Amino acid sequence: MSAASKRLSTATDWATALEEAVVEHPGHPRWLADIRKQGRERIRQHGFPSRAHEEWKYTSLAAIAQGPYSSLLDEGDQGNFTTVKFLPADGPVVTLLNGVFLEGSSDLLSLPAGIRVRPLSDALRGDADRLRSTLEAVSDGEHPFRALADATLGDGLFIEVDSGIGFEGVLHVVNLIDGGSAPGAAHLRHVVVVGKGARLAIVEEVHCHQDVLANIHWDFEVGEDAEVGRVRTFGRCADGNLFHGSRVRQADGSTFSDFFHCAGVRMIRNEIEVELAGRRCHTELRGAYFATGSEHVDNQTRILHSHPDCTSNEVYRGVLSGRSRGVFSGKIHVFQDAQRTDAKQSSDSLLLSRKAEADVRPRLEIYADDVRCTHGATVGELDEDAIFYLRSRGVNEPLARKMLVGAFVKEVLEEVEPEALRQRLVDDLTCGIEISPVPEE
Amino acid sequence: MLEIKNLRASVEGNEILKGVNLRVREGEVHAIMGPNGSGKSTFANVIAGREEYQVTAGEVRYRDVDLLELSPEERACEGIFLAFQYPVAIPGISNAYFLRSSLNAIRNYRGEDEVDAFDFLKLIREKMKLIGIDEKLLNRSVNVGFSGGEKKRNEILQMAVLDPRLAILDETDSGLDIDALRTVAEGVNQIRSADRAIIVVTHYQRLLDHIIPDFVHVLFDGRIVESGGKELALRLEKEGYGWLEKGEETVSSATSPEEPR
Ligand SMILES: Nc1ncnc2c1ncn2[C@@H]1O[C@H](COP(=O)(O)OP(=O)(O)O)[C@@H](O)[C@H]1O
Ligand SMILES: [Mg+2]
Repeated sequence: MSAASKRLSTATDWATALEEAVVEHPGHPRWLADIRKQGRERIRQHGFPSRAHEEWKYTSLAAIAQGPYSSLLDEGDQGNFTTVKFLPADGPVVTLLNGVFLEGSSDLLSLPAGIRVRPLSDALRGDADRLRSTLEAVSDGEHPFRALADATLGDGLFIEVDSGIGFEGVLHVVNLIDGGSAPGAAHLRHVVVVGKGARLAIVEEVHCHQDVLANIHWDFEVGEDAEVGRVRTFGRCADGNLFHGSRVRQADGSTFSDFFHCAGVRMIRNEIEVELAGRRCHTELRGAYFATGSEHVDNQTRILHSHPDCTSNEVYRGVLSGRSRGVFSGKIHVFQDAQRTDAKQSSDSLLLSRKAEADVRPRLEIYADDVRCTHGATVGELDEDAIFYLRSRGVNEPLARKMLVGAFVKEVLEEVEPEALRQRLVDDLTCGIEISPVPEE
Repeated sequence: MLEIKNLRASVEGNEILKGVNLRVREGEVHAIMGPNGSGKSTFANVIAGREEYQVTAGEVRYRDVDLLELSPEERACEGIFLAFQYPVAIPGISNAYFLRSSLNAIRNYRGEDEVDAFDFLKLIREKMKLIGIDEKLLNRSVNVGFSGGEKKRNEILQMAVLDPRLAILDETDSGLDIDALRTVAEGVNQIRSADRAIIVVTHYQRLLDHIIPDFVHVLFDGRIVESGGKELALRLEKEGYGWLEKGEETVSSATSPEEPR
């Protein structure tokens, strides 16, 4: 296969459009303009990969590449989100609309001293140098969404937690993406730096309105013995195309946990890469999702065990109805020095219809000898005997199905706190079941 | 309460019930006995509404409605309860949640208020004590990792909580030691009342020492070939089912099984 056929053309248009749309701010450092320029060049050079590309085997980017997303979204209208059922929150909240900080819908007063949350563009004007190495890092030069994020770099958040600060509450991040006046894209970059022994919990919710491309990237620097947890959920995004990527670097003795949750998103590519760059780290990646109609959920996880004595655990569960498709591709790379690694991975899919499809690809590369790596994958249907058991006790069939689906996904979310949030997430995953109780033939 | 005429049912094209006749009135306890594979569980599942068994002929009336027209959940709400021979395990659904959902579904159907968590707990604790079930099982997933005896007791617990009008117990005695057998029998005897009927399916007579039936029927090769009082169970115990095989033709035509005595 030639390199050219692994790409979709249109890339030049994108690069040109972005060059015109992104304005350089005089207060920003020079190197920022360089990152943007390099992002544009990478888009121009590599474009969007086609499905012939190994990493994009299950997800076609044709509709995005040829769609109206090379233009940037305008400032958006918050009024388009009045019917959204937001998650319960009783702590600090930060709301962004098309990447721009909304002061009136944010409340950062309850943040303890030692935790700073501010728009990335503000941080870039001030002590920008401490952001430089994080923002300049390019791990995959051909990655289309990374290139787009670099080409437009500027919107998003910079979150810092000083060493030793143990925040018991939850920082709520609301990303609203509005294509109400015209379709287009929003590109966001959130940078999180958590100091030694600090603790941070984040709940992120993303809501889209109309036809948009939301391209959201997170970078986490998790300090020694720090503990970082994130729950991310994608609410009403029936017309949205989402790319959600995370890069995490963990230092000695740190813990990072991530809960991915989505229901009702037209198309999402979820990528997370965690580097266990210290000893005795633990990583927990969990995911629970529901897809129906022609929705598409593509999960790509990479865990890089580069140091000894680390553990990682991945549990993903998808419920697929209609003609939807769920993908889980999980890479675990254990480097030669990473002795006594313990890595577990499991991915289970529940098919509620014959036309739904689940693709699972565990990818283990192990170069150390004293390691324990396990992976398992199942694709199944609801247990008809269990449905009959419930019905024979008076529970109607749709509710019986819903209860069983709830039981399937609930386990993944077990550790989400508080309970009200967990229950809400389970409900979001099962609320579509009762409406379409009978599996499509 | 239950009137079955010439019921025939097949699974995957094989006829299993070949013309069952039976009448059960309020307050009665019937035992259905018969060798393995004679169709006892099929019969019980057809009454409960299991769709993989196709009813090909016959009629089932239950409290003046055509039972075969009702969905399994409607039958349950109308008061039919089947204690399964092999209860299914359901990972992720706790016993308490399962039972409360069932109870509230039935209460909703009857136009009664749902029970709240507090009242439910009170009710279920009381029943668990009566049936001798460890309270720990409440928060465990339904039948997951339950011993054989625990599964059977759990069925009896569900029966006690759901308060059926017609209870069918399918081999609830199998795999139980004598103590467990006694508590299960006590559970059944406690719900015995003038407005309730019970059908006990078994292929041993030992349960019938504790639950004394009013009528005993022998199901053989998909038909009720003999009916009688409790002494029939004793005869089966002594002589086994062999005599039925030889006399099958004459017995089935000579008796009128739907009208015991
Ligand atoms: N779901 C089923 N699929 C195929 N055959 C079945 C099924 N259920 C029962 N049978 C068959 O029907 C016959 C009667 O079985 P069953 O009703 O379980 O008998 P019993 O409970 O009296 O032991 C057996 O030959 C059994 O193999
Ligand atoms: Mg049986």
